Parts: sequence; C-alpha cells; structure tokens
Amino acid sequence: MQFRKLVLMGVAGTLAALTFGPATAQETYPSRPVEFIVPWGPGGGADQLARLVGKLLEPSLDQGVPVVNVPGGTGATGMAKLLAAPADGYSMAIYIADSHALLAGKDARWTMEDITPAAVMIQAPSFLFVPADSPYETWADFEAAAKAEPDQRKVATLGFGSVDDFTLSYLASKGIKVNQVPFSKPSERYISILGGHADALYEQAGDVAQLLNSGQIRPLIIFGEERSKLFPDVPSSYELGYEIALPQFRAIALRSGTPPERVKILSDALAEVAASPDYKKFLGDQYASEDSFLGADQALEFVKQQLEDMKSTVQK
Amino acid sequence: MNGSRLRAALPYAALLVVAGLFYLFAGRIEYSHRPGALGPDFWPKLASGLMAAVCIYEIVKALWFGGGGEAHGIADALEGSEGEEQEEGEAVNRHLPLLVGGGILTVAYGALLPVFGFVLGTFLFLVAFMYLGRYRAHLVIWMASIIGTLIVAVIFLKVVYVSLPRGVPPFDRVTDAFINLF
Amino acid sequence: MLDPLMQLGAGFIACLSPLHLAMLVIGIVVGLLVGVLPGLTLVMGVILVLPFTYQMDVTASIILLTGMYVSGTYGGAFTSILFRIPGEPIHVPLLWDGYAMAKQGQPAKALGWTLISALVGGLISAAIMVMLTKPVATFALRFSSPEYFAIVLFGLASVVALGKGSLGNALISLCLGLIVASVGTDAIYGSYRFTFGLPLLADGIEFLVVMVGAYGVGEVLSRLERGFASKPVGSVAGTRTQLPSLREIGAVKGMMLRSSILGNVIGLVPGAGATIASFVSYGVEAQFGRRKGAIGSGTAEGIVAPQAAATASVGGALVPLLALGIPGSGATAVILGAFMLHGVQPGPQVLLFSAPMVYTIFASLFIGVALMGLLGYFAIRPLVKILDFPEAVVSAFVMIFCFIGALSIRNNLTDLWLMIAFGFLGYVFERLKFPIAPLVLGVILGPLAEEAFMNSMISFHNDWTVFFTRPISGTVMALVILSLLLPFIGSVRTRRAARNSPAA
Repeated sequence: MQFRKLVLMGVAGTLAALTFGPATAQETYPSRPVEFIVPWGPGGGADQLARLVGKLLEPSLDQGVPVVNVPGGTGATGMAKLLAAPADGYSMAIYIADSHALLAGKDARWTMEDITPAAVMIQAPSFLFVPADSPYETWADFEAAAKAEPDQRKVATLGFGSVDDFTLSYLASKGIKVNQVPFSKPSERYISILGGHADALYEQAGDVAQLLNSGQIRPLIIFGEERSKLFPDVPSSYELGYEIALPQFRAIALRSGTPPERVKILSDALAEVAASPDYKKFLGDQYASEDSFLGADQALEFVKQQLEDMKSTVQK
Repeated sequence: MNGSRLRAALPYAALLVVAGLFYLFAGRIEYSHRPGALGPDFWPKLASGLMAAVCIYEIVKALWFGGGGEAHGIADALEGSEGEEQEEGEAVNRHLPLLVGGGILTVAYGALLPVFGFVLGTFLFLVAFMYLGRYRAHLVIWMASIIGTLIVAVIFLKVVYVSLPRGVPPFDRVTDAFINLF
Repeated sequence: MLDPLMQLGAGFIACLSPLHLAMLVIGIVVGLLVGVLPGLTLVMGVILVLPFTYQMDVTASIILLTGMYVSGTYGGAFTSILFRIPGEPIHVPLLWDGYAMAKQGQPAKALGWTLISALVGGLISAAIMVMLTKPVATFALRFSSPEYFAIVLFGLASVVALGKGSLGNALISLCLGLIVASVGTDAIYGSYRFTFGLPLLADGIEFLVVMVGAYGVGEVLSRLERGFASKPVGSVAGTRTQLPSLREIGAVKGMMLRSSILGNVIGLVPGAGATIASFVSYGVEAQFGRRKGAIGSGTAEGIVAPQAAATASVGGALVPLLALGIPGSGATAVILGAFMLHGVQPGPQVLLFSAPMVYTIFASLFIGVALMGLLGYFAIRPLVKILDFPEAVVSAFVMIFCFIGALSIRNNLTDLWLMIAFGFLGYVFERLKFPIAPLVLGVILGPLAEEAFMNSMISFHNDWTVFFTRPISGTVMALVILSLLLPFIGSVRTRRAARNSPAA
C-alpha cells in the first residue's frame, strides 16, 4: 500500500509541477487561493467562463483561483455555498441571468442585498434558432405557423420559470402560442432540434456556436433592441414590435459585506482579464457583445435593472 | 402460526405507511400550474403509489399464504449462495459497542470537521477508527495515519482542489500551515 | 479525401509521440486510481484533473482526459470485487458475480475477467467509433425523450434480474430510490419537493451520496460490528491464476461481443449511459443468456456482461461529442469543456478540417485501451495484496475516501451529512437483508426517467402511446415488457412443476 501511495504521489507531483509553482504567503489580499464557485455543472457556458477567467486571473492576483462546481437548483445551491462562506473576498461565484430570474419569482433563497457584483463579464442576446433544413425560412413563416396552429410548434427551452419561459410567455400574450418543451440538460436540448424533435430552440448564440459555425442551425429572430452585427439579416424583436429583450448575462458576485478595497482589487483584476486578447477572442467565439464588461461600480446598477425588466415581463 | 404471519406482514405495513405519507406530501408540492401539463407531483406520486401497491401485495401474500415455500418476509428474502453468508454471519459474534462506536465516530467526524479543518480532523479520525477496529500496533497506526493524512491532504488541497473545510481559529492554522508548507 | 484507415495510421504515429504517450499513461494511471478509490467517481476525477490541461495543447489534454475516461470504467471493478464496495455506479452489478467469484478464492481470476472484458469492450467500441462515426452520430440524433425514457426504463427493469431476493422487496427498494431522487428542486418546474422546509434537502440528493453511503460506509460499519473478524475475501495466498485462458474466453466470445455492442449503443444515451449499459447488459445476460440460471453465483458471464458494456459505452459517448459537438455523458461534458477552453469547437467541422487531431484522439483510444490492459494486468497482484493489510487500517482509509467523495461532489458539507445518513440506512438494509442495488439504481436513473417522461408528455400533449408507436422506443419498450414478464412466467412454470411432481 505504501508503494502504491508513493506512485500516486509521484504522479500527483508530476502533475503539480506542470502547473502550479510554489504557493507563497503574502500579507496583502489575496494571500491564499480565491475559490471560484460555479453554480452549474462542468462543461457548460458558466463553467467555461469561470475556467477561462480563473486561468487568466491567477497571474494578476498571484494566487490560485480554483474553480469548484456546485450545481443544483438553477444556481441556488451554489449561491447557498457563496453565502455560507465568510465575506472576506476568498469566495466568488458566477452569477447568471437564469439564477437572477429566480429573484423575480417567490421563495428565492437570496436577495439582491446578499450579493455584491464584482463585474459583469458577458452579455449576450438570445435567439430563436431552427435547424438548417427547417421549413421556416424567416421569422414571419414561424409566426404564421404558430398562429395558424397554436400550441403545436415545439420550442426547446431550459425550463419553466426561466428567462426562456418569460420570453415565450410574452410572445404567447401577443398571440404566438408555442409548445414549450423544457430540457434541463443542454445536450438533449441541442439534439432535440438537430434531430427534428423540436421545431425551434431558445438559446444564446455562444452556447451553440459549434452548431452555428457548422451551419447545422440558423437564427430566426434576435431578442433585443437592435440587430446583431454578426447576423445582419436576422430581425430584432423590437423592430417587429415585440418589446422584449432579456439578454443572458454572466456576472461575478461576492457576498455583500466584503471589504470594498478587496472588491476593487478583484474588479480591477477582472478588468485586466477582460482587456486581454484571450478574453476578447472568447467573447468573439461566444457571439457576445464586445463591450460586455462592466466593473463593480456599474455592475450593481445593471443587475438591478435586469431584475426590474424580468419582473415587469412576468407581470405582463 | 398466526403470529409469524403477522410478523411477516408488519415490515410491509410500516413501509405502506411511509409510501402513503410520501403520497400525501407529494400532493402538497407547490408549483405554478400549467394547463395541459403534468405537474412535478406526478412522478413522486407514481413512485409512492407503486410502492404502496407492492406493499399491499406483500401484506396480502403474508397474511393469506403465511410462510409458504417462497421467500417471505424481509428476514428470509435471501436464497442461494448468499444463504451461506447468513450462516457464516450467525457464527460470527456481532459487537454492538463497536457498531455504536463506529456510528458515533462517523457523526463526530461530520460535526467536528468544520471546527478542526480537514487535515486535523482526518488525522484524528484515522487514529480513532483504527483503535476502535481493535487494532493495536501503535507504531503502524500512528505512522499510517500521519502518512495517509499527508498524502490525502497533498492530493486534495494542493494537487487537485476540493473545497475542504479549513476549520475555525485556532485550528485553521494547521490547515493554512499545511497549505503553505509545500 | 484520405481513407479513414490511412488517417488512423497517421493518428497512431502522432499518438506515439513521447508527449502524447506520456499523457495517455498518466491519464490511465490516474483514471485507474480514481476508479479504485471508493467515493471518487470518474466524472469527479475528470473535473479535478481539468485544470492541469490549461497549459497543454488541445490534443494532449483530450488524450489525457480520454485515457482517464477509459480506465476509469475499469478501475472501480477492483473495489467491487475485493471489498464489496463499488467504485463507480457501473460496477454495482459486479457485486454479485465478481464478489462471489472472489469469495470462492479467485479474486485475481475475477479481476482477470474484468480486465479482458474491458479490453475487448473498449477495442470493439473504438473500432465502431472510427468506422462508423457519421452513421452512429446520425443514429444518435434519432433518439429523443421517448427513446431515452424507454432505455432508462430498461435499466430500471433490470432490477428483476438483480441479485436473488424477493421481487417485492426489490421493487420497494427501487421505489424508495425513485422517491429519494425526487427530493429537492425539480428540473422542469423548479419547485421544491419533499424538502420539508429544510435548505439541506432543497439542493437534492446526489446518487453518489446514496451509493457511497449505502455501500461504502454501510459495509464498513457492518464489518466493524463483526470486529473485523471476517476478511471481506478469504485467504488469497493460494491464488495464482489471473487471466482466463483462451479457451474460457472463446466460450463467452459471443456474449462478449453482444455486451460490447449493447454498451456502445446505450453509451449514446445522455446522462447515465455507462451505468444503464452495465445494468442492462447484466440484466439481459441474467434473463436471456445461455447460463442465466448460474448468474449470480460467480460466473464469468456475470462479470463480462457489465464490464464489457461499461467500457464499450465510452466509444458510444464520444461519437456525438466529436461528430456533433454534443456530449453524451458527464465525463464527455467535461471533455467538451476542455475542447472549448482551447478554443476548439467539436462538431462536423472539426471532423472535416481538424482530421489529424480527431484521428489522433481515435488512435489514443485504441492505444489507451491496450495500455489499460497492460497496466491493469500489473496492478492486479499488488491490489489483491491490499487484502493482506490489517482490515482496521484499510477500512479507516476507505471511510476517509468516502468522506472526501461526498465533500467533492458539490464542495459542500451537506453532502457529507447525507452520505452518513445513507450509510446508516445501508447498514439497516444489509442487516434486514433488504436489497440495496435497486435503491441505488432508482436514485441514479430516477431523475433521468422522470425528465424524459415529463418531456415526452409535454412534447406530445400527454399522448402516452408515443412510447410504443415510435420505432426505436417501441422496440425497447417491447423488450422491457418481455423482461418484466419473464420472471413471472418462470415462477408460474416452477410452481406448476412443483405442484405436479408430488402428485406424480
């Protein structure tokens, strides 16, 4: 057994040597690794963002930024972990629109007062996609079909009570009634439209970039005030008279009560990350807005505004 | 005869109550109803309903057919090769104090881990558990615990990162000292 | 257009470069260790290793992770066979024949069988993957919620074949598992179920907590109660045989092939492909196999069926990832993440434009499976030796690894408490001779079954006939019904025979 352990340690040591240098103790913040909580499973959009930001953040903080996945409850489980940790700036979490939408419902397990956003990292509008060989050439085709046969066109979404649901409910109130089919696992959601099991998919472009780039799916409509530069032919919801735009955003949140100077150190480091070419390329791959980044000072306003928008949509 | 029948039926009656309770609680799940769609209560009701049905079947079987030739009652559920193990198990003495000790030690680990932190807590658990297991080679116990704790801690705190409890002062210093050791 | 075989050849050459080979060896060793350590699952291991791939080039990092994935489906067999504690959910079926064979004094032989099955299953599935990437990927697209439901139901239905106790007890245990799995926030409505106002329960109960608790902690506690007087597996001094002979392998080659293909196809199912593959394959062998009567008493078939299917599922899960950019399992989701981190988006384009990389990964699967066989072979003897260590020491470490496993799932103390609770429950089950496997199976497959069922109902406006009218799900449903009816037909027959024989 001892021998096996030595082998284990050898392997471990080799792996360690490949990445981490020796950890050095420092007096200033941060003096030990900053835990980066992802309230979602590995492999998804939130996870990719966290791993990239964590990797880019390590040199500027001069500390490890280990990513820990805490999936469950549309992000609620991870938020509980963040809120259980001391407000010392050594725990931060990815905070995305889908978790934020829980605050618009009842029984949310945290409030705006519990968190301090350090930065907004990504903003990306949502689209309705159809498979490349879909009979619906334009949004007008889809709209006509949905109006002719209400509740028959299937749209794959994240789940009931999500941002996706808010948007579809809004469309339903305008007479475009579709059958919302919730798939909580992204892989099933994407297979559903590739295999023709659903007619359309509500998603952000970045999450299905591999399908978009290979021409397997195409967008019908963008939910926003303006068209996207990347898809100039795709109409925006506002120009069609549908006043709904709930973009996906991914922010980084700390517990409120974290010393302001530490929030600032993190926010500045994140600004540095956001300005790096690696991150710019990531934003491009994600089809996200180039000016996505908002520092701590603007992030709070932004997040609050988003909640107001969601609440007003739910009430409509 | 009647007593044995009742005794065979009793565990299933208890399980039937459990299933019934779950069915009732499933009815109280709150959600925003959507017309034309099954609610989140459907699946748990299906599972608890099926469980209740099986329990009723087993109760009827036990009361009607009593100790027939087939497997009956939980205690007799095993047949075949695992029967040998049962005999073997009866030949071996069971030590209730050991079991209780193991249970307490396990619960204590869960309760004290946030206080002591991972490194210290694990070390104490290893030592205590080996002594509890009636092993008395002191040198082996202490060496194995020290080396084991070090290796496990290196792997899960330094090499790969698992968010393990650090402990509260003054014990968090042990964890921090360890992290800064290498 | 180059011939795929040529490209594969080039892939082999690229894969044999020192860096790639080193990554492959590290991946396999780490995968084996992760599999062996109770509590740490394969998916967890892949997540934990992911940060190390940040600095590598994309091919090397995918090779490392794939190597782990392959050998992880094999490593868990050791603990199932030697300690009666499954290292991975896929190794629960090995608790019957694998552990039984070990108890009969042949632990090394049982491990030899798992090694051969993993090797054959892995190679067959790698071959299918390379030759049929496109068709298999297109086939995967034909699966939707009704098909997922039918296949998961097949997995659940395998309880009738698991172990040998009363069917009623198994069903009750399964239902309990389904109920436990539904605790927490549901996936479709986001409503709280059975949380009783406790935030502890609102996050749901992970299957790992149930499996590691009920088997790991429960088993250690019940051995502790016996004062560690009886070794899990008797004396191993006399065992010398390790690999089964060619003649023995020849006798089961048909079923090995069948299990591998079954595993490969089920591997396409998102979620718990490998677990379902392992259970279904065991169930099929126990009900339809040539030696179905002997299954459960330590037969080679009972070891080969789950292991070959489990390792074969790797190829099945990798196909949709590489060909479509859609991950088919927990581990492939992490591998997708690794691709993305390096700015590569897997999908049809990668297959066309980055063929050298894809074929290097394909080749790494072949070499990985072979290396796994080699390393696994040399690991058998030292690992069997662990049985000679004082049991108190080994058990203490088993407990610690169970604890770490629970803590690492969601980096949360809650899971530790839940696991301890299920440890006590597992002990009670064990004492009352109540089967644990259906409980674990219910917890793993329950959420998948429920979501697939609910999606089908929503998608087809509550028309339950879709499960039977769609060709693939209809076929699988017919198999499910058949496998559910078989034991009843069997028991009626035996009863009739029993009634007739005294009269005659």
